[in-house]
Amino acid sequence: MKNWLQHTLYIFSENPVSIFAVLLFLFYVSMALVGHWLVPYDPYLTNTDVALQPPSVNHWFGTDHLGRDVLSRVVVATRIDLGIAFSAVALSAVIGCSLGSIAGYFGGWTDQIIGRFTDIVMAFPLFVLAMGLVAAMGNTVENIIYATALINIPFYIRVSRSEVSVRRNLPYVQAALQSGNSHFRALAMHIFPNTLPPLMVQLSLNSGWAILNAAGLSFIGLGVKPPEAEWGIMVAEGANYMISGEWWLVLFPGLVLMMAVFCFNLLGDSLRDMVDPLRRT
Amino acid sequence: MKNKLRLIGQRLLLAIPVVFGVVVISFLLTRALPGDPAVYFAGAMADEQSIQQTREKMGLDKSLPLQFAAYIDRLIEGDLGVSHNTGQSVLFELKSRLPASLELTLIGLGLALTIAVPLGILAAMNPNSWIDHLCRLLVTAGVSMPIFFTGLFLVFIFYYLLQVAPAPIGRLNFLFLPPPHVTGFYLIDALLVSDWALFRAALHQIMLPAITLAIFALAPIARMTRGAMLVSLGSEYVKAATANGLPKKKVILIYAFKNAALPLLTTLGMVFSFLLGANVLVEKVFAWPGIGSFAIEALVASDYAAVQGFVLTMALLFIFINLLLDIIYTFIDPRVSD
Repeated sequence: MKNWLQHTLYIFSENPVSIFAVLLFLFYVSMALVGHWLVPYDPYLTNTDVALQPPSVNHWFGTDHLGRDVLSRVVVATRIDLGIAFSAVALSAVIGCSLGSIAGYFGGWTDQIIGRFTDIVMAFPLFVLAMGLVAAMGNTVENIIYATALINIPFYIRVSRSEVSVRRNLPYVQAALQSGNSHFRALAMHIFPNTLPPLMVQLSLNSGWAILNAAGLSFIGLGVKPPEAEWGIMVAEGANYMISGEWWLVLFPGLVLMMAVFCFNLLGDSLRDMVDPLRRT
Repeated sequence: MKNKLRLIGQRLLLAIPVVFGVVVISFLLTRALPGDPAVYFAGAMADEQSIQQTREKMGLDKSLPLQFAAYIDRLIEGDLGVSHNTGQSVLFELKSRLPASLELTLIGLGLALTIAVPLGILAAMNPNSWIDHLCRLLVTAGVSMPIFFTGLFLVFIFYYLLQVAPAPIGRLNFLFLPPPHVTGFYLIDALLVSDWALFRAALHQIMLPAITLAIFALAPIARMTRGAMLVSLGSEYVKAATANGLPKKKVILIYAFKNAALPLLTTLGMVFSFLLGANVLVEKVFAWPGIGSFAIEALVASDYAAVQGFVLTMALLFIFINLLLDIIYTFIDPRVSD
């Protein structure tokens, strides 16, 4: 345990950007967890007396067209945005890794079928496929999660398939099989843990992309419905005011969304540096 | 040459199962609608009778394989159904709006390529210089920016603050009529009739949305160019060319870049996937009358035939682009020869 801690500290001291990314990540997670109790105003309370006020001491991020406090809404939105992204990424990681590992380990016709599935999903422009799926399944938050999960599955299949297939004939796998482990056990307990490092990189980069994707879908009016506070919708609602100069309605939710994606990308890059020093950019 | 043609033939054959799969998925999407699909396709204003008519017309009372056969039949005839939102056939709507989307996407991609490729090359030639850091900054920022946010921000700066860009109201402002339809690309059509004022007006309107798309596409292209150039600059043949005293320009452009162009071409396929999706968001921000904003209007109005037609068209377009990229790849790859 102490060794592991030392190693982590060593890596962080090498790369100060990673520390920043981790702190930012913790900040977002704590906003999602306790943000509801910290906000200065009720995010859904409309008060047209103070509508469209620029940022001030009372309203740090200004107020929107219904007089709602933008800061409170941005903070409260963290939970739903991260919630959608994490659920979608978790779902696609579980499904994608299982399918990819099976394809990589057993090869043959399982590999063929799973490979064709990947090809067909990747034949769609992914955001467009997500739009079509949500339209077909119904316009709800759960379906946004399912659609985002489905379009991410191919990436996990590819990573875990290639990671498993280079390892399936290694001596330690042979040893595990010789000593009486079943194929599934060898795959799940001996090979899979070794594929985790590259998967973590994928997971982190993917989370950023999932947030962007979900925000994009709600920007065009899918999924989360007004008056719910969500970054994509807040930007969409503020869009009309951008051409008349009320910039704070778009800027703050947009910036917070961007920083979240930025944070996951930085984390992914730092993780990549840790697990794969050769590909350092 | 023969070898290359054979490879291209194989590649074309490989596309057939993918096209089939895409058609199956788009068929299943129409059948996954919650409740009775006939009710959805008949539209919100339909009565009992027209729902029954739709059901029979679409063959929804038959078995699934028969329905699929009928679906293929209609696809081959180019029948994608009728958009209830506009009252026109979906195929007509998509056909008349596709040039607007393509014009925007191609100009955006062109802009991105002209900036990102030289930037990537310069960054790879001078690792850890200021241009390398600039490249890295652009790449990281580019992948993190929500494209609708970038677009709105550009509108705020260039339209509201600086007042150099026109309002985000589509392809032309109210003072101009579209040029006579030849290609559907306003810029080209305006040139064909030598209408310079119209050309300038159309160019003015397309600048901001195209720049928005370019900022988005810049990141993956610059990243890939830099990576591929680093590999190819470190290779033996580039060292040999330099040692033989060839001019630096020739070494970089002919020896190094030509080889780096191959992985770059492969990335372009992925860039297109993101670009076609991003296009939808940019069209919404700039009220661009392309197929993306058509799809958004259809989504909001629960116009399912239109949405499915849009998804299928985009997928087929994307398959076609990938096919084209692979064919170009085969032609410029020096390792594929007779």
